[in-house]
Amino acid sequence: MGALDWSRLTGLRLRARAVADGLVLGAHASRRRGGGVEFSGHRAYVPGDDLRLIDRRVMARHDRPFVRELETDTDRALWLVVDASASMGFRGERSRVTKLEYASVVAAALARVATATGDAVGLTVLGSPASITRPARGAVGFARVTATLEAARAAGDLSRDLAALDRALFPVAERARAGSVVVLLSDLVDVHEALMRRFLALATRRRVALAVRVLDREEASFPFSDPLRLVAVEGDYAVETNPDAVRAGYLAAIAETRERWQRGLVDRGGRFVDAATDGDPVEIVRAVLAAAAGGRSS
Amino acid sequence: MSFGAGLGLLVALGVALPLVAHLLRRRRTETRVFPPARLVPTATPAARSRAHLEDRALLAVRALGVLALAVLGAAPFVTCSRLALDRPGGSAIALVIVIDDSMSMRASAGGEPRFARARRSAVELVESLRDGDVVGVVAAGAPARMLVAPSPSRDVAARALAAMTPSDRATDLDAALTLAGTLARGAQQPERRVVLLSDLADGSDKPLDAPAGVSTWTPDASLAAALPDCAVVRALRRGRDVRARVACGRAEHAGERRVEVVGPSGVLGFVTLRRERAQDVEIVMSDAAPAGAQLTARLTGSDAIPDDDAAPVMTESGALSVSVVLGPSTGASERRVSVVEEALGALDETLALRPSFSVPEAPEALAPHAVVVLDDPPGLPPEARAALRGYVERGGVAVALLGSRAGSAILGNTLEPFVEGAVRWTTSAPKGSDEASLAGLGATAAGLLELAPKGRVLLDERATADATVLARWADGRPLVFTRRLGRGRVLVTTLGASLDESDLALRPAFLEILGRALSEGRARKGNLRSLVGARWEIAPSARVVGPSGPLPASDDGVLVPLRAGLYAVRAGDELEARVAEIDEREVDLSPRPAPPRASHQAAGATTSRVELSPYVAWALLALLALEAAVRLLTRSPAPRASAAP
Repeated sequence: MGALDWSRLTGLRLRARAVADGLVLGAHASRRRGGGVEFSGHRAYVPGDDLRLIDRRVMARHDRPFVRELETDTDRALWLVVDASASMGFRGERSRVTKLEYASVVAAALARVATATGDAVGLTVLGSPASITRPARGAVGFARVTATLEAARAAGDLSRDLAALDRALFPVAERARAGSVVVLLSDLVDVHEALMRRFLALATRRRVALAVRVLDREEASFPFSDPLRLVAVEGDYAVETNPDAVRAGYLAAIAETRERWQRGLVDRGGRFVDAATDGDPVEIVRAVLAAAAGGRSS
Repeated sequence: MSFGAGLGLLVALGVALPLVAHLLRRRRTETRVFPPARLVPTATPAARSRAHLEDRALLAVRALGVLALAVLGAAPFVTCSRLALDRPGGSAIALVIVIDDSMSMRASAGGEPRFARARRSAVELVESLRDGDVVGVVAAGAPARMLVAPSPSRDVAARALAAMTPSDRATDLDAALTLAGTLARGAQQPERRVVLLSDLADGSDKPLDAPAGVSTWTPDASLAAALPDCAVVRALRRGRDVRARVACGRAEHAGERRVEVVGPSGVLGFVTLRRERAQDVEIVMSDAAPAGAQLTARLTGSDAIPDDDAAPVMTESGALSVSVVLGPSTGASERRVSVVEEALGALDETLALRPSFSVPEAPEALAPHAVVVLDDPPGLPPEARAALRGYVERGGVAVALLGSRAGSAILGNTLEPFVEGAVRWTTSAPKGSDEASLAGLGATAAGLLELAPKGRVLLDERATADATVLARWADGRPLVFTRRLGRGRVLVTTLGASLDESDLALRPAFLEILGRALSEGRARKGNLRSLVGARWEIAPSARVVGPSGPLPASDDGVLVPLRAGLYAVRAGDELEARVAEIDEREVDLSPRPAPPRASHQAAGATTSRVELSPYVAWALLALLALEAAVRLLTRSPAPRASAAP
């Protein structure tokens, strides 16, 4: 994270800009240049339209010029799916932000990058209650996303609430156009087992699904030594354990989760990115953008 | 238990320290919020495992350690009831332990059988001996026996004591003390002591005499207590009548008790006892009494020794039968009582004497007789020899008084199985017998020194090759000898009973010779009842089942019954029932007065006061080792991890 002190930054927009401004828009701009072009309809020619887009066959049939309306990459929205369940409110003893705060910064930064390049940005927040922000471009889109993220609070138990999961993801599946990029930011902890299937189902129609797992450093490394009684945030679960004895097993379980998600995503052209709340969000945003670029190019 | 420094026990208050230390050391498990808790495998925390063990094993070990320290600091002593020998001068001791194994020791003393208590005391005494001491063991059950001669080996004495078993013998305290005194006095140690472990009950009321020259000690006065006891000594059946002999320690012990005859179908008859110490009672059985069933006569009620309250009912046998084959002392035509018959009658007037003038030619004809006496037989024809040999080999006793007629046997007649080889009569006989050879006949043999025969029988040397010579002539030739033959025994004199040839029949030694034959006959087959501890001659291969079950086989054909009751002796196809009876004097459990000063501690023994500190210190060391072992075992516990939920 470098010298950036997230706790002293007041607004998410400022933080998002700080992150996004570190990334030149060229990364996304390249997507404009090389992006594919899809036919989306005809409309009457207005002065100033590119003459190359005039459809001569239609002009001959209707005796007036029509231009082909094309859908470019910039028309494909960035959908952010942010987990705001109770477990995302966890902050380790040595951490300065919760996982939700960290995920929000990354999400806002991604929104900043997207809107800066003219893409629409939509947001759905997994949690209780779920909230959905329709895709919008420009400053409006960025403002909506950041406002929603700032209002999000870590609450709710997603481990058993399949309906909440569907309420949040169904609009994305319905509205995300082909070629859209869907980015899930979650700790993937205590989530319903159907989340992976539901999320991977979004990786169709040339949509790119990316998952960013956000973990606290304590969750990532399990640095405890004394005997502990660990209590889960979601669900009524507690375990007494000897950290030294079970550390390897826990880390193996963490790795297994990553492996499972990564395998599922890669099979569908997606990518998996691991993030820790003490890490530099710039790198995460860059990794997501790179992953998105890879997904589109694949 | 007493303590040399009682304040040391205050250290025991420190028993709370391990608990406090444990509680201070033990921390509560920290609870943390951890979202991915479900991915964390469960495992018993090491600290909890240690705490668990400390809660149990280590805490207990430490608490015991503190208590041991407290006891150690208090210098504990215990006064033991173990017997030990006092050594005022510190010198070595010759100890002879007289332990009573008679029937009266079956009674209880202090909640345990007297014999077990006495044996335990004897073992304690043996264990208290030191190097340089010697110890011997004498059994006081009749007859008094030396079990272990005084020896420095405590193991030998301990093994002998361990091998002792309680018996139904009578008690012979006087002989046992005399024997013990003799053994003790023969030792080289300056201190000589006899320890008498007995109930002092042998039916006599005379004070016991301590052996001269040795200290005598009766350490356990609780053994000697007058307890009520009655016993069925014997029970004999004749037809429907059973005659039982009942003895009690005191006349009042017989009160309200009765004797019952019990068969397979139950009580067949009974009679109430009179208030007498010893009495013969007759019980008339009901008509339902089975003819061949084994019956038991038993006393109702209870007393100190239940084992002697019943006795098997035996069929009353006739008098001891003795066959006398007459010789020249009685003419066949002028029948008069021979000197041999007179001598036998003098020995036992109840004998059934069966005189004859020839030896039957069938062994079965001799079988009813316990003893067959041949008075100067003129040789024996082959049939008679075979009958006699068969009779003796089956357990009979035959006596041959060889005189002048024996030396003039007709052709074809020999004196087998008594002697082999030639038998000659000579008129030249030395006067008297060899004094040194007379020990085998006892004190009465002294008269043989003056024996003045008119002749004697000379035998081949091989005739006495396997025989025991009981008396010899002055020239060394055998005068009286005996030899085992099969299960029986033959006894031969080289001088006849005829008064015309010698005065042998007039001398007490002649009665001794015939008395020995009668004793042998009784032991073998004549009388099937004898006292416990008497010696029975049986076939070496005989199988014996006693009151307590089968007995081990006897290699030498000798059986000493130690329990009263019925014994089934089976040799080949022959089954013989014998009964060992208790001595009715043994029923009297009143103790005799102990020897003077025998109960005083100055007699040489004391109880011990033992300091326990070394033992406590060892226990403390053991506890420390145990704690170390527990710590080693729990140092690196391997927690068992379960699958993640």
